[in-house]
Amino acid sequence: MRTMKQITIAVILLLSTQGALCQDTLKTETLKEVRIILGAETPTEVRSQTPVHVVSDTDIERINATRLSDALRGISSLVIRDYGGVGGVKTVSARGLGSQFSTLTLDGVAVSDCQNGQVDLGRYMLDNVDHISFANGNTDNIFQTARSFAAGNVINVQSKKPRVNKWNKTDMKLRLEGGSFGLINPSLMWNQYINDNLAISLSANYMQSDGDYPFTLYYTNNRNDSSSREYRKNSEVKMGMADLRIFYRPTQNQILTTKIHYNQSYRNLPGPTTFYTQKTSERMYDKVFFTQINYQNVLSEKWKIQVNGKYNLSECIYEDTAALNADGYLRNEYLQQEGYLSGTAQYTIFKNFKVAYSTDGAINTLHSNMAANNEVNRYTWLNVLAMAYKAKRISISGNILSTTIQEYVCNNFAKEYQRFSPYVGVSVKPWNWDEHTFLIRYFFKENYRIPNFSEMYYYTIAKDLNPEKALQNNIGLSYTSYKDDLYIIATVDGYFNRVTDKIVAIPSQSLFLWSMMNIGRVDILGLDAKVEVSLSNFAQRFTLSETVLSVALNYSFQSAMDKTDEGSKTYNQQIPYTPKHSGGAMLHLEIPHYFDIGYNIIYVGNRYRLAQNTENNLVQGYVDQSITLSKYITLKDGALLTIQAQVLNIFDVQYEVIKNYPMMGRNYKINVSYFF
Amino acid sequence: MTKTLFKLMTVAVLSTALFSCEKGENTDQTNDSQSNEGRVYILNEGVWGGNDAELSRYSDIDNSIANDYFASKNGRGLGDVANDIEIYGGKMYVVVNCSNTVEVIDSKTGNSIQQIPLSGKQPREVAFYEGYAYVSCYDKTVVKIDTTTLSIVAQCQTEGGKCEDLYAYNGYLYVAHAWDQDASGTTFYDSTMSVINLSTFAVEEKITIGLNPKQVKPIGQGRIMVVCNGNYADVSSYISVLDMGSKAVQKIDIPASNIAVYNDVYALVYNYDWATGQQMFTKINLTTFVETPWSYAASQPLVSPYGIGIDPVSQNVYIADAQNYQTNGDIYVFDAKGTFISKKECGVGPSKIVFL
Repeated sequence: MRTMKQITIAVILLLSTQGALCQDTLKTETLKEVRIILGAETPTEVRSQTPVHVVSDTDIERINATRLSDALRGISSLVIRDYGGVGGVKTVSARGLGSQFSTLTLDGVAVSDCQNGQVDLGRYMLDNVDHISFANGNTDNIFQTARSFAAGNVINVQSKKPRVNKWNKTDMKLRLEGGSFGLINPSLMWNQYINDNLAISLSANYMQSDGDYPFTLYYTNNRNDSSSREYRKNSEVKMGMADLRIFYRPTQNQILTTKIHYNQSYRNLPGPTTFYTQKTSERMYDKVFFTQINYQNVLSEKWKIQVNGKYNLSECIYEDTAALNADGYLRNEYLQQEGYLSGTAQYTIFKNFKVAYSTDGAINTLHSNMAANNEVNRYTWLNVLAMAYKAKRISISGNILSTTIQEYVCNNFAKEYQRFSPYVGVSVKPWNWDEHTFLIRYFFKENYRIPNFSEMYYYTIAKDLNPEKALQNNIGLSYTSYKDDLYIIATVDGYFNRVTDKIVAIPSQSLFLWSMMNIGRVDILGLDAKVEVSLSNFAQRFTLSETVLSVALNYSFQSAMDKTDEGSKTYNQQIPYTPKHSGGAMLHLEIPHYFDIGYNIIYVGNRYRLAQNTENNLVQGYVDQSITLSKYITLKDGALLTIQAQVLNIFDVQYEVIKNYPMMGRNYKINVSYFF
Repeated sequence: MTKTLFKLMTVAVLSTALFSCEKGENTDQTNDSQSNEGRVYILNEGVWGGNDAELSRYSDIDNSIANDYFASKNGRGLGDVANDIEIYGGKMYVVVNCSNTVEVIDSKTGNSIQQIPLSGKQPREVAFYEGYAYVSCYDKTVVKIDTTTLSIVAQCQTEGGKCEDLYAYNGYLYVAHAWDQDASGTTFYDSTMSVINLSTFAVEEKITIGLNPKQVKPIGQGRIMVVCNGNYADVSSYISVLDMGSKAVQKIDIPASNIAVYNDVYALVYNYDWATGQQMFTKINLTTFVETPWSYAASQPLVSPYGIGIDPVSQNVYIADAQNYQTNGDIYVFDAKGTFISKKECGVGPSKIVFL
């Protein structure tokens, strides 16, 4: 069980200019109309008050990201904890805030997990995705759910709207990928026009991998000491998902989107590499079903409303078939249910000034097969009042969030929380240039993270826990230049965050029972910088027209210091698994009619596995490089055939993101997709 | 009454004979190992999944410490979560729970002699008797190892909670059964000890000793002191004394996390009260069971005293402060009166201290 509890990192902005161009200018007329009506507009990186990274569908394709965790690796300010292999859990955190401050939303609706409060990004397939955005603090959009306002940072996966009409009634994409260590990944996407008001979109994906890759096991933290060549065992994974979306537009002003999703996975858990022995008896079974709706209505020029609803049922079973306990096996079953309803209304007071009110209610239930505390209920009510003022040279937005939560254990009242937290963001354009945009931005945000059920009710001595608090301050500059064939984006953001009342597990009674306490304090000082340059048509003299070269560089500095107890050995030490330096680069050369070639390098600096920064606790930094070759073939009937070949970890670097969870060495992937 | 007294005296005489024998062995080793490296080994458990169990060797001559001692001698680590360390016949046995090994080490040089694999068994504690090592395992077996050939000779299946500490006396092995979980992960506590007849190597009887028994220490006169951890809820920890001759159990109602014994003269009991955060050291006279408070003088109080040991020669008290169990610990040395002698940083989770 401890394993599960412990289950309880990163690098370049892959966002290429091409992607940004798409978002800014290339959206077609038909989409424009939808965009005005729909609140889910693509966040703009350049003009926002908060740092936003966008990974476009083009980027996703270029780096051949099949899972959400693959796509986020390129953002250096994100720290991804990757337990290795296809099945290894992958969680994310940003800017020194714990992973529970990060909220994943699918088409604007949050994925919640009351048990551990964090989401495994490795289980989200990127089929039919329009873009992924990662926003620190808030996005500029105030027409959103209260949960999105409540997050410390938000990763949103926005799916594509089907581009079908009466002349082109069906879109279909078939894709097959194969790779090293038994990777097989077929997928299907099907968009269907029904009538002018109705379209459906179906996607399905299956992935399996043996994951039995080789690695070198070092028997001390010094690589010159003993080592042996081993294979990862018990790492077989099978996962499948199906996603049906129905787009219904009864009038020009209304849209109803329904999403029905199911995914199931079976994973063997290889666990940490343990010297002299290998445990091969742990598995995990997951099943998730959810259905969510989004309804939007532009009532008048002044009023706009939306309703979001979701029902989620998820089951997680952890099994150890050779557990050394009284029964000889261990089986932990957790069943989570969520009912969620959110309403947002936006009123335009005058042209540049809008106010919005969002209210979200959620009921979460966790059942387990344990004897004690086998049913926990949480009732959440979030309310946000937000305003936004946007003029040519200045934009200001602000909101106040109220969080009300009550928890019951086996129908007995257990805990309640009531908190208010503010956000304010400002951006100023000091000059009014045509081809260049220069912008200064600032935001302040306060966040609370409610203790999750594991912390409160399981495996711990119950303590009176308070929510963990995070304060974020960000100041940044952004510069964009778009002139002829040259496009440049450069941003730099400095931030100071402070986490107080951090929930820390303290072992008690011979490491057998743990208690949770609000004792931690972390001060985080950091800097995120990125530059993207795109140059088109530079190779015309070689008769290669429309050639585009894009370069994206990014770098993050993060000093996340433990400030809990001046007398302790961990005081003023970098918190675990947080690199001081990380960064990366992506180069992409697009030669239409020939091929595309992409090169990707990710650097993550030294980290420490424990809170004390000793030599023994050092986890070596690494450089991971990959190369992708893509060939696009347009067939005579307008169908598109794509062939991609990829070499990952080209130099076969032996590295670990999490200590004792070795990552894959050099490996290959090849895929063919047929779009018609 | 008279009968019991007589029995006690008989046992006392017998055990004195036995112990003087053991002591003789100890003294020999002490004389042999007069190097600057010192006589004190500290076992650092490490953190779960960390592969960072280690030895620290502390020099009682110049108060210096050599950390990562095993790796520095052998070019490899001990493994994942080491639970026990004992010295017998010039060899040191380190029981590595999650790596499923018993590492047999030359106690003078620190070089590994042999690694004994106990695949899938999760070995926990070790005890010795007449040339054999007995290792208790989480799979509820006790493994018998020949200390000359270092090969596994036999194994004995027991029943009850997980096997914890054990002690062999007079042809019998006493194994504590602490706690266990069922298939749903729900914990329950045992309160028994298995008595294994070493000639047949089978469980002969079960003794009720006290709730959640863990640490077992011989205190002379055929008696063992057993730390019963209670259930961490309504039953707090206490100490049981078992007379292995009469099988009589006597309860000493003193909360205890850990005990160290000085030459059958007194036991030093340490307790950390999680509700109040209070630390308490008590000396218990092993003849009269009279309790007297003991305190140490350090510039600041220890955070989490974890391992304690008393040097059988100098009577100095070694207390390992595990801090938060996730950082390097500290080893403190005090004299018998609690006067500060030295403090040195050791490894992660220092849990046991043994003396050459």
